[in-house]
Amino acid sequence: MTLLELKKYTSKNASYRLSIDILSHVELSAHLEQSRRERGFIEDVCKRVQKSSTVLYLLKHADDTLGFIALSVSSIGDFPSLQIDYLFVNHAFRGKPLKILDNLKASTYLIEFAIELAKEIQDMAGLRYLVLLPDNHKLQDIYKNMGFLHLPKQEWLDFKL
Amino acid sequence: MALVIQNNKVVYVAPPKKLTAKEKKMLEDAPVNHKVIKRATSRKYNVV
Repeated sequence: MTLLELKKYTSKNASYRLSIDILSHVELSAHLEQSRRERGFIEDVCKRVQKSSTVLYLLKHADDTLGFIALSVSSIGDFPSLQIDYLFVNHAFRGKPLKILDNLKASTYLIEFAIELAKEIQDMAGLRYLVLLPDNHKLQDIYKNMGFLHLPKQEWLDFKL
Repeated sequence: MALVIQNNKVVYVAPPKKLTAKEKKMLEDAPVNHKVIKRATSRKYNVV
């Protein structure tokens, strides 16, 4: 029996308590301002799940909530894309490669899960890119190292599928 | 990600809908990272 799971939340199973439940099981940033931002993003993205605007995958291992990724369909220019609406990693697990995740960091594991989903969708309905808007320049470099392309004068990063 | 804070409120931002010909070409010509795709797609994810 595997203890690692990605619990999927859509408008069908997400209650109004989703953000409360997530916030009660994760540790936010130690910096007050960043912590406020994260709380705001989590509350907003959970509302978007209830409105069918995004689907959230909560990464759990036994009783630990490692993080989550929220995804929606989008396009960059005319190119159909899968968009990462928000990616959050529990502060307690940030930046740490975890054995249970094939020695990947939780953020990398969640992005690779998004790539897997994007490839599945590509096979069924056509898709060209996985896109995201990094929260800061440090994250931008991490994503670029994974193969995301940064167009000049654009803030979005694109991963070709 | 697609969410940013503006005037103390969370705001949703969409990717650019209009790209220049140069930007389109850059996207089209971008290399595919087969190594990352192979690693991502060869793993079993336990979605429940």
